[in-house]
Amino acid sequence: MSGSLVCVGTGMTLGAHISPIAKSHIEQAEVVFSLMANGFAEKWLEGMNSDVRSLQCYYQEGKNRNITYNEMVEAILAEVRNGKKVVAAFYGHPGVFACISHRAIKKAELENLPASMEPGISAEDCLYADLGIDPGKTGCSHYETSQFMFYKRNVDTSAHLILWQVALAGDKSLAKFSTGSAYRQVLVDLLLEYYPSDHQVILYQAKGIAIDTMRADTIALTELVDAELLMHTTLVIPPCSKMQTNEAVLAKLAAIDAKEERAKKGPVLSLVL
Amino acid sequence: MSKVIQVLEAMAQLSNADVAQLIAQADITAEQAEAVINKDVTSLERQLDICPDVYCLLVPAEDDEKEEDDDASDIKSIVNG
Repeated sequence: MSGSLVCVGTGMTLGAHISPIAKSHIEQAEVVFSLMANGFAEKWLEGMNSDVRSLQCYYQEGKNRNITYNEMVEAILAEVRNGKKVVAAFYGHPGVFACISHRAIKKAELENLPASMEPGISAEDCLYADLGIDPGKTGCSHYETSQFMFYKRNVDTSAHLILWQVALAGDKSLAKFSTGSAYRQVLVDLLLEYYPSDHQVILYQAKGIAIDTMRADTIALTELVDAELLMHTTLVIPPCSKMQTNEAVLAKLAAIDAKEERAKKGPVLSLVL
Repeated sequence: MSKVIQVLEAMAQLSNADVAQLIAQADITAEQAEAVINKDVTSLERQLDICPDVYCLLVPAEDDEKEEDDDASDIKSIVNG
């Protein structure tokens, strides 16, 4: 009998966000691997299945996280190869700013092992609800902070810019659990190319359990250098400019609209007597 | 499942949770109840022997095409060698 893998998300707030299908997968699994955002959620998961194995033990400061994640993937797939019905449960959404699920599923498929992913409520979803942001209003870009720094990106200051894992800004080693003010200054200097120094930005953290406090601290951009940042702190940068109309595209669209209007009305007939 | 975890779960699921009633029904210790009412996460972690050092990190994705190009150049150097 072939093993199988389903990667699920448990959402951000313990109990509030888990979907019925994710809960069912967890309860029915023979083995559950877990990566939760806090110890309460780990215990909560342990209450749903008798064989829950935390993947936290693979993290180690000073150890390249690519190695950590590959070890996690191998631990998960070992049980799938053993013929077990495996569920890998991650906080939030298992595939949003999270590579383990994607790597595990890709590898499972290469070995002809059935594997799939169920979506979950991510920190991004909580951010929109908690901060009253509609990404559709002016647009929204999301980047992992260090990736944003390593590569040249096009920054649209008329849209929201969300930078994840800002506490690890600029870590090329992938082995640190935080970087200091010198690295953050590099990030701030980069952002100052686009935003004014007093631009108000938000440090956001979603609630992990019901008695937690959601964090939404507004600071000036330059204050980011010395701000208190945790592993799960997200930097939200609101727009600082208005959207600019694209006159050339609008002119093309107006021409199409006019042509369609003329086609609707049909040819103009004149009666000549 | 731990009773206090069940209380946290119920508090998160009910839109108008009566915390006092949930605590009374759950039969948790007075110290746990106090931590829940006071929203004292640190105290609850200590009481439940929860390790506060839980990591939730991710790796900034690298350019896949760049990785493929690197692989290709490695193969060429082997052939030419």
